[in-house]
Amino acid sequence: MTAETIAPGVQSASDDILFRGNLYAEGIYAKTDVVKGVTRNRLGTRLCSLSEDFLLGMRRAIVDECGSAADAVFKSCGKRWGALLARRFEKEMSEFYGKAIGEFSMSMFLGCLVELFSHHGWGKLNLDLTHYEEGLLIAELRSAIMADLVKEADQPADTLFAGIFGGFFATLTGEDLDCVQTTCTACGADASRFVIGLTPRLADVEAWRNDGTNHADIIANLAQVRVKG
Amino acid sequence: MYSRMMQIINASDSRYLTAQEQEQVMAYCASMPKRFQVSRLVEQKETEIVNQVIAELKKRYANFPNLHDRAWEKGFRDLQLVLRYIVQGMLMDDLDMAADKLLYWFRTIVASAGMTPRFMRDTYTLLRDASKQKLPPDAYQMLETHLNRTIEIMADIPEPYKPAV
Repeated sequence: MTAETIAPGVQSASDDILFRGNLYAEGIYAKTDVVKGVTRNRLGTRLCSLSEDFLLGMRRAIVDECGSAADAVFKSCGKRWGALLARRFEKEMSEFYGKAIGEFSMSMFLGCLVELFSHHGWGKLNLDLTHYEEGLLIAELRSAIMADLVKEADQPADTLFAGIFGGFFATLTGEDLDCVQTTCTACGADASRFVIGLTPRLADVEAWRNDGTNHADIIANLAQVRVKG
Repeated sequence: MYSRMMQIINASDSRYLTAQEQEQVMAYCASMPKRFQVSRLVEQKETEIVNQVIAELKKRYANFPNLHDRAWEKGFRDLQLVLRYIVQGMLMDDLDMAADKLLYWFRTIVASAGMTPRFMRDTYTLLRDASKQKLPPDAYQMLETHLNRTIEIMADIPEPYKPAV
């Protein structure tokens, strides 16, 4: 800690992990070794870019192959990816900031998670904690990658990310969590929204959404749902 | 996020720099001693500047320490960090640098800790005003646009669900 005196007995909290700066800082986060053809982030994790045509091609292939089961496949893939993402996020955060992620303040955790999404080009994430005490977390994703690419759909297009959110938070908390998309920009909404909560509690959310229940009413309905935790 | 030098180099891909571009590079290089001088001045005055901001915030937001652990210590740290990135942006003549590297991340963190847009505007306006008071006019002038941009970015947060200021 520095000894800069602010007032008697008060010093800069320069020992705090926030003083380490932003892991995802633009210009530093990723670097490409063009000789090897390898891009890594500043902690050594290998990254690659997936173009629009690749993502759309992958989506079309799964829809063509799996038909009505495609959403379940996206969700399942997303859950696995989300679980791996959570482990990497935990590892990189603790490596960079020198502290286990469980010791992060909620605001620091959120700040880093939002950066993870934006610097990887997945969209601008906003986590709404308004319903946190009721056991629900709301994620809002603007410029969501899949919805932006699909453009128009009659069903939410970000099921992969619903799986990712579910797998990510389930892994970090050790709870049986799931996530369901409630609005999608490809269906005309202003943002893609997701509700995250205990799996049995979210059991009816997809049916409500498909019946035309809006996001706010789904959250209100969920406030009445009680499950054994 | 590109400094002026990189913008010029990138714009000249596959060719030599024009005379006008060379002049721009020379002008930027010639400005470096002054930029480093301003950086050293801010470094020397950092504690004074931040102290002044904290002192004023203490008057305006007396309840703040009751709502946050080590509130003013963290406030001091936050202002130090922001000021240092503002200086980096000034050194590189890049108005986006502080935002891309620090401010957007930092803004998410403070917003979720219950800071209000008003609190943020007050804090970073005070940072600008303290810098103006503590630095020579020509040094302040080199930071002014960066300080103003910082106010706009940091105050652009939603009203919190549970204000904590």
